[in-house]
Order: sequence, then structure tokens, then C-alpha cells
Amino acid sequence: MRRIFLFAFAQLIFLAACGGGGSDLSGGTGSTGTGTGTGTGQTIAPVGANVVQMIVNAGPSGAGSNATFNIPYVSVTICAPGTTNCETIPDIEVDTGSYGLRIIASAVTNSAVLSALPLETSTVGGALAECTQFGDGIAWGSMRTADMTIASETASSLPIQIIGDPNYPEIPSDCTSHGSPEDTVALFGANGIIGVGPFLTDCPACANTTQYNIYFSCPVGGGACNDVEAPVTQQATNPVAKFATDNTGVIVELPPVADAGAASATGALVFGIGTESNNTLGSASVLTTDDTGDFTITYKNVAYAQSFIDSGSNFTFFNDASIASCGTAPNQYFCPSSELSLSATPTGLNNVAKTVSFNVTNIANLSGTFTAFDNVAAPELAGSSQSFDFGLPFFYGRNVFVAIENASTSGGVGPFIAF
Amino acid sequence: MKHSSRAKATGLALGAALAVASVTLPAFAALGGDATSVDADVAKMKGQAHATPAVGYTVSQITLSTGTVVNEYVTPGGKVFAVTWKGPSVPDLQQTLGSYFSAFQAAGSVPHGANHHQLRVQQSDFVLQTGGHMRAWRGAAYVPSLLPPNFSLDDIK
Repeated sequence: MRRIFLFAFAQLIFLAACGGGGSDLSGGTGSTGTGTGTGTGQTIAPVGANVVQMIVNAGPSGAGSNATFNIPYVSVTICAPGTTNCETIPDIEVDTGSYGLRIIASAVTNSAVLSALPLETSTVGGALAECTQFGDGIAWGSMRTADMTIASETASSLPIQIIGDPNYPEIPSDCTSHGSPEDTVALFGANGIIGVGPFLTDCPACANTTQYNIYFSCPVGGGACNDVEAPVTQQATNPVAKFATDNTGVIVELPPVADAGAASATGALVFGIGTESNNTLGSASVLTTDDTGDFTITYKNVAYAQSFIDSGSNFTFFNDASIASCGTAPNQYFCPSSELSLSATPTGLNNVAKTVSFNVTNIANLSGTFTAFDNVAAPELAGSSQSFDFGLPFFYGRNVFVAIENASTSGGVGPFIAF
Repeated sequence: MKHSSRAKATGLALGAALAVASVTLPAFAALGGDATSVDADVAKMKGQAHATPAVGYTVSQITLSTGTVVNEYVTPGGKVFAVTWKGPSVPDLQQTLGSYFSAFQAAGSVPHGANHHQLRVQQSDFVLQTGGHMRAWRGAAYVPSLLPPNFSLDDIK
């Protein structure tokens, strides 16, 4: 998307002979520490036992062909269970819209670590593999266990996916029929992804059916793989839920960015809700979600029932035919002639509502070298959606709590989103 | 929802038609294909199908065992001009998109950022947008040249 964004940007800026934002770095990087958010004051937690630095930048490709924007990254350490045979992997995408840790095999540069991660044994005796279904394609690879450490938190013997595991290169047709594989760092735009949304595992129903085409059993050492049921204990699992402490959820904390955007933005991913002095809910409003993570967002008097807030969406996606759109195929963006000040109202299943303001700017006026924007949005395909997707633009300048199902917090039992 | 907010007369008429008529019509086929191949497609998707006539087109709906719902929009001449899906699993898109699946594959097989929740394909004769998150995926696709006369894209649900 970035490549196309740049192309669209270059094309439009040429036509407009517009100087907006191009070389001005005044947006700068976001600051750590205490900042002022939109509305109430925002405090970004300093790095500590339950806090890891999180940064929005161009990703593992740097300024390369798949440089990213509005994608937050952290580093995680994986170890062969119970050993000090470990590697720290940077540029792991933080996604509140998925579940589990998935790492591109090639990003594990120490082959002694990769080979020491035990394969999970499927219920029919083969090696368990996963065909992860994403919106833009599929990720195929083995399921293994690892001790994962982030900040000072450890999830022991965590089931993780090794995407593009060279030992299992044969992708079954029941997998490729769902999309194109994105099994390399270049295609994935990250060295991996850490799914820390409000649920425990990625496919609880897959424990009792093979109809999802998500879990497969492969002959150990390679060969054709077949659909298999996978107990939830073997599934890709939200690592936070496996921590010994601070396991009730996460807080995504990003500083505000200027209208022109920022070259990067540095914030924090905080573990636990209401477990430490740095993760209290405070005055945040708690909005409970349905069993998929959705609630209603109302925009211009239309209630979109399947809406969500998602750190892994790099735009805000919604329907508004009154806003001009532009962009080079295959992507379209909102491109109003001047920046729009809009509002939307998320409402939880518990009927708690909180109206938030947000801006939508003309993407053509933004710097192609910046990576953090709080005002980029894109249209949904007309009529096809009952969804309003508040992506990463929502997160700048406010701390967003994501509580895991069944976790007890001072704000009630998850799943919920609070801000 | 969007179209009702605009109080489009055609949209309201179609809504009424959808509400009152539901008949068994097993026709189900891939985008751009003829809705004459029948049970094989339903069998491959392992779902249950029924069809609902609307003004100027028919919606064939297949509900997969996972709970994901696939809608196929069929012209009176039997051509599938649009498809949508929504639910916990991504359906077999090779089956659903037919010959257009290769365009979806092509868009996903070149670097396209790190947003794994959406993908848009916009070509002169094929438009697709996916979205959602784990446990609730959705998507819609249509073939502009096959749209029935006076059909509004707002009517693709």
C-alpha cells in the first residue's frame, strides 16, 4: 500500500505543484514520557517491567519497496522452551485485531533457535500447521512452541506460528483457495505480528471442525498436509493471557502527531489492566464488545453494527459518499479539498457511548517520508459494509485499553475496549 | 443502512421485495459465471443455499457451516455480477471469485504494506474490497460491466 501511496502522492503533488509537508520535518518524532492527548491528559508509560517501547516507522524494509506507515512495531524475544537458546526479533507488528504471535521464518536469523522450537503434534499425529486467514491473503507455516519474552513478561511454551517455515513449503489447496500467501518479510511488511486483541485464541471453533481450513496436519519432515481439528490449547494464542502476571490485557499508548504527520511516533505497549500503578483504567470509558470484538459506531446518524477499533488497520475505513476520494488503483483514499473535522460515536454492548472527534485530510498533501498520520482515511466499497473501522489514526494522543475475554479488571470482565 | 439513510426510492422498493419473497433456488456460481452449475458449487462450499428475488436481480445466499454467509447477485440472464461474504471464516475465494480470483491473488502477491485487515482491487472490470479482523472477515466484489441497468452499488450488502 505504501508503494502505491507514494506513487499516488507523487502523481498528485506534481499535478498540484503543492509544497505541503514534503521536506518539513517539524512534525518530528513523537515524544516518550508525558504528553498531552486529545481531550483528557495522556501519560505514556516509561519503559519498564510491564512496558515495552512501541514505534510507528517504516518497518523492517526501512525506506525500501514495502516501507509501511501507521503500523506500530515492538521487539519480542523467543527461546526454545526452558532454555537460553533465544533470539530477539525486532519489527513485530502490534495488532489488536488478531490473536497470537506469528514470526516470518527468515526473520529468525539464528537457525539453531528455529530448529530448537518444538513442533506441535496434531491430533492425528502429524506436525500441526496453520493457514492464517487475513484480509489481504493467507500466512502459511508450522505451529511450534516457544518461551516468549517482551519487556519482563514471559509466556512459557506459547504456541506460535512460524510463517514460511522452510520445512513445510507445500501449501495445501484448501489454504491457497483463500488468498495469496504472504510468507516473506517483504510481502508481510513486518518480521511478524503479535495479536493482542480481546480474545484468547484465533479459532476456538477449529477445535471441533475442519471447515475453516485454518489448521492442518503435515507429515513430519514434509509432504502433503490435510485439514485437522486443533484443540484451543494448540492454537495461536494471545501471549498476554499466558503471562504469569499483568495478563488481563494491554494498553496501546501513542503520542499525538501534528496535522502534517510525523517521521515516526514512539509510544508504549503496556501489559495488564489494573495490575500495576502504570496501567489503571482511570477515567477511561469501558465499551464491551460482542464475541468477535465488534461494537456499534455511529457516524452521521448511521449506526454501523459491525464496527471496531484496530491497531492493525493503517487507515480509518468508513462510508461517506460526500467526501471526495482519489488514488491510483488498486487503492482509494479520502482526499477532501480541505481537512475535515468529523466525529463518531462508538457504543459498547453495555450501552456505554463515547463520542470522539477525528480529522480527515487530503492524503496527497502529506509527506511521503513520514510514517505516522492521525488523519488518513479511506472509503469502504459502497453499500457493502456495515462497518466503521477506526484504525491506527484513532490511537494517536489517547491510551486504548484492550481487555481479554474472561479477565477481571476494575472496569469489569473482558472482552472490552476502553479509552 | 447507508442507502436507507438516503431514502432512495429504489432502495426501499428492493428492501420490500427482499422482505416478502424467499424461494428455493439452488443456482450458485462464481463471480462472472453462469448461475446454472448447481449443487457442485454448494457442495464444495459445504453450505446451504437459498435465493431471494429482488427487482432486476436475484440474491443467492449460501451459509457455510462456519457461519460465514456468501451472497451472490445474479442477473435475470443468470450471470453472477457481484458477491459478498461476511463471517468468522474467509470462504473459498477461488470458488467464489472464479476467474477473478487471480486478480485478488495478484494484488496480494506484491508488497502492499502491513495492513492485514484490508485489500482493495480496482480494475476496469473487477472491483474488490476486503475488510474486518480475525473472527469477523468480510468482503465484496463486483464486475462493473455485468451490473444490471439502474443497479445501485449501495444495494450490495
